[in-house]
Amino acid sequence: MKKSKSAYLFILPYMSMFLLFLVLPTLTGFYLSFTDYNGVNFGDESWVGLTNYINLIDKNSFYFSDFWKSMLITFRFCLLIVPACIFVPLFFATLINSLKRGKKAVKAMFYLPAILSVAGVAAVGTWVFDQKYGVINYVLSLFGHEGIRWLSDPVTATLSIALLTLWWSIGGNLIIYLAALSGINTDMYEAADIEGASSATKFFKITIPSISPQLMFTTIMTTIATLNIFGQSQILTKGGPNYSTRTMVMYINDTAFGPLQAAGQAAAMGIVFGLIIIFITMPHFRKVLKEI
Amino acid sequence: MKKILAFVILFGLVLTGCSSDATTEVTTIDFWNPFSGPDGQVFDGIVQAFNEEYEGIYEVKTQTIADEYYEKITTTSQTGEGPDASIMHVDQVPVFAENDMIVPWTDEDLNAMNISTSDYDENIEQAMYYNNELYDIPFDVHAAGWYVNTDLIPEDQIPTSYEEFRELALAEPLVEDTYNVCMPAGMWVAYDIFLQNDVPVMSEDGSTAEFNTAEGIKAYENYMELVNSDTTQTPGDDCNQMFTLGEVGMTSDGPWMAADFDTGNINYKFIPLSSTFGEGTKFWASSHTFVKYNKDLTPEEEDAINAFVGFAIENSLMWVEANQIPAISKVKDSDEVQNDPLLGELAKDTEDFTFYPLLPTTQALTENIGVCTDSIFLGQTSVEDGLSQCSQLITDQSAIILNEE
Amino acid sequence: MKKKIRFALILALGIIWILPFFLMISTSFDANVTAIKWPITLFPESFSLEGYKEIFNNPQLPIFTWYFNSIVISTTFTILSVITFSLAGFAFAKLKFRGRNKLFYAVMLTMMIPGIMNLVPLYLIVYKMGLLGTKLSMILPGLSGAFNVFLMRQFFISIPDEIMESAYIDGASNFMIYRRIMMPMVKPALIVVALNCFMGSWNDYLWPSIVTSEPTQRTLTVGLSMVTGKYGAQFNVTLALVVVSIVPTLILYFVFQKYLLDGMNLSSGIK
Repeated sequence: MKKSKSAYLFILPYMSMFLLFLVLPTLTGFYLSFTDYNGVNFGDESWVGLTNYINLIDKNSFYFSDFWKSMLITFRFCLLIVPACIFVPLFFATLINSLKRGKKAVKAMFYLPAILSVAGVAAVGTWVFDQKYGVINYVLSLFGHEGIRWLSDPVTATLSIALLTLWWSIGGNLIIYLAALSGINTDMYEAADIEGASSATKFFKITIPSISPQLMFTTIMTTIATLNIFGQSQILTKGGPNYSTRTMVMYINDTAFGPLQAAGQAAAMGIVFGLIIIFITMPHFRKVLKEI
Repeated sequence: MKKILAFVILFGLVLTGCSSDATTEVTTIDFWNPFSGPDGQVFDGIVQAFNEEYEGIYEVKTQTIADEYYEKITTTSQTGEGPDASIMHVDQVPVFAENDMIVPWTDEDLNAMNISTSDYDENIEQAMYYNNELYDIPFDVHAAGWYVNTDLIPEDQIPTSYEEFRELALAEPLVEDTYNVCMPAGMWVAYDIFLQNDVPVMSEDGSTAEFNTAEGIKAYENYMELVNSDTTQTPGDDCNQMFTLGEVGMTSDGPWMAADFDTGNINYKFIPLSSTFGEGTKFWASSHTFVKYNKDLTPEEEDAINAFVGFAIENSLMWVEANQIPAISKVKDSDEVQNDPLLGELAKDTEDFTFYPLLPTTQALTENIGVCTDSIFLGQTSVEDGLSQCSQLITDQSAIILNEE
Repeated sequence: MKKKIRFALILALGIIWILPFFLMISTSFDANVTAIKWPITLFPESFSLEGYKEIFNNPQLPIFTWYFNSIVISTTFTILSVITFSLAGFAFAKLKFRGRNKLFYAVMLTMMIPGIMNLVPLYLIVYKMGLLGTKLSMILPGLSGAFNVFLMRQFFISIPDEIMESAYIDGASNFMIYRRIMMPMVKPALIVVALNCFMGSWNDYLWPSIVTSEPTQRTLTVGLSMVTGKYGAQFNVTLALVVVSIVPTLILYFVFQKYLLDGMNLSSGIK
């Protein structure tokens, strides 16, 4: 491949938008993390140096325990949601792909929840998990179970939000996998069949490697999306009970706009959280970049 | 391909210029409100009535913001795109006042509205001031009361004292498969528990939470005795939902729930808390108030705002339709309100309404006290631990807020 | 035998998946539902368009304006997105230029910072550009997202380099390769990006609610949010509002979904 000058033209539209609407605000946020900005009067803030950052590692600071608690809660959601959101849609995608008939219908059934907005999903959530009249407890009642108070207990509240997120997000990864699967050259499968390979072998030796770019992509993106969970948690439980479902983004939001009005501190939290995410996903980045 | 691109960009640019304001002599003001429920329709009606009366002179453009009301106001005010005036819950006033986002109402403003501070009861009047400046004008006052399902609890069984209430809560259900009492929880319940037992909640300078005392613990333990009883609901159950379905004899909430309860086929009445806790008991109340923002407004715009606020207060009898009690005495104490089938009893008790003290740290109290006492309610922490943690949290947050001054 | 079980299994799962959705739609056609029904009925007890009539006949609800705004904004955004992201994704995947990896790395890094932090600074920037309240303010900022650039890049990478080599030999320019060879091959990916972008824009609530102040500027989601609660327990109206707001996305999906299973035609075209 020759070095290409026209490449710069290709990336120009995107990079200009990127610089103006993403980099500039982020740099502003970075600047604000060193100030005591209160989210209200931009221009009135004063420099406080590393204070906001120190607050996050100083055990005696007010923000310390809540910050790390939110981190823990967020990671817990990640562990619950990400693997499920990768493997389940993959499983469905391969199944759908192998169907002779009804592909369209089944595809639609799994994808449709994804078109709802967060508010719509939360509305469904309150209905499904309602203690008295929710769908789940209704089914349980058919077996004589008295029903679980889904949103009142920290453990079940976490599970409910995780389940709801799963229901909502599977469609997104599903269509990516379907698109990826459709691009695999069928010649390889025919050659494998001739050599008598089993389904499992075909799956692991042909399918997975062929869609590895997309697998990589969905893993990273799902992780990032889960780490940023906000809407469903906010609407369903408002971070309760007793702050047990208050994710990092919710906590940052509360710090910036809540009674403390510590937007500068919130900005520092965002930066630190971002750095931690980078640290976690960095090995995958390298793999992604090495692909070329 | 290039043609499509060019066309699309052109199209988009053309559309951006496609919003033009008709220039007329009418002075318009932007007013925001948080009434995203059925009461929103009533408020829209008041705005409409004003616009009709002042047609050609003033126009109020009202927006109902459903979520993140105060966040949106804060963000948009930084560029002047925020509201000119709005409804504000009284406990939010300190934050906005401290940040100079709202400005005090002047005597001229009040004159233009045809009102004066003496038109309000003393406890309500006190809630108008922060740092000795008059920042908010109350539109309504609201508090929680008891909803009693009269099919389940006959007239003579309705408790008239705390002892009777306690007995009812601990008694076997009067009607099978129901609860006599569904114990309420949340922000105002915690506050009420302390108020009713004379436990101080916040120090006068707003720096420390003071309810973590022996009296506070005892008061809360009395409450929890009823909560943990087998005869009351399991914490986590939705009292309002069960009440609507006729499964609960007595529960507590504000008059705004009446609209929901009406959808069930039950007969109920709404009585003030004083009927169970005794005449003269103080209890939590809040208020929707009018505030004005720190913007460069023309004199006509200021007049328009004053005209609207004055009109709304003058016609605050209309607000009763939203199941709210108007704040101004001449309407509040009028026959229509005092004899209103739903609000009447509560309206008679407004002198016992106790608002959160307006301090820089009020928000620390209001944002936290419900959430952190919920864990006690749900049985996840003991009363002692819960109150200790809760008061520590509020005190810590207050320290930070006060340091930021 | 095994195929039948597989089919039955996936059908059952699919039904569970779509059940809440279906119930939502069916309740919106029910006559004046005012309380949560128990037990849940699959089909409306009495079919009625009351909920929908209420929405469309209400003078306080400029629903057609909102619909128009949303459609214009989301469609423009989708078209611009597909173009912008595929151009950039292609360059990052297949073109060699100085700083390519470093730049892409930087782009990916920005995905890690929680977006909520950018809200206030972004608002101030848009204000300074004089774009508040305009449709552009709801179109342009979204074009800075790294998500879809990343996606396009991954799909372009899957295409063998040989195809480009032979095209170069035939004298094709990069742009011609992009337009005539690459794009048709990644149609499924383009559909995914288009769907994602349309939905993202259509469902966006927080940002449009901050940048618009006039009722006529609002999008459907924002407008509806201001109105939904006012119907309180009239679930048929509330749900009708939800249904009304998902129709365009549904249509888009059903029109384009067949491309999702189309092959990438690797063996045709270029020899």
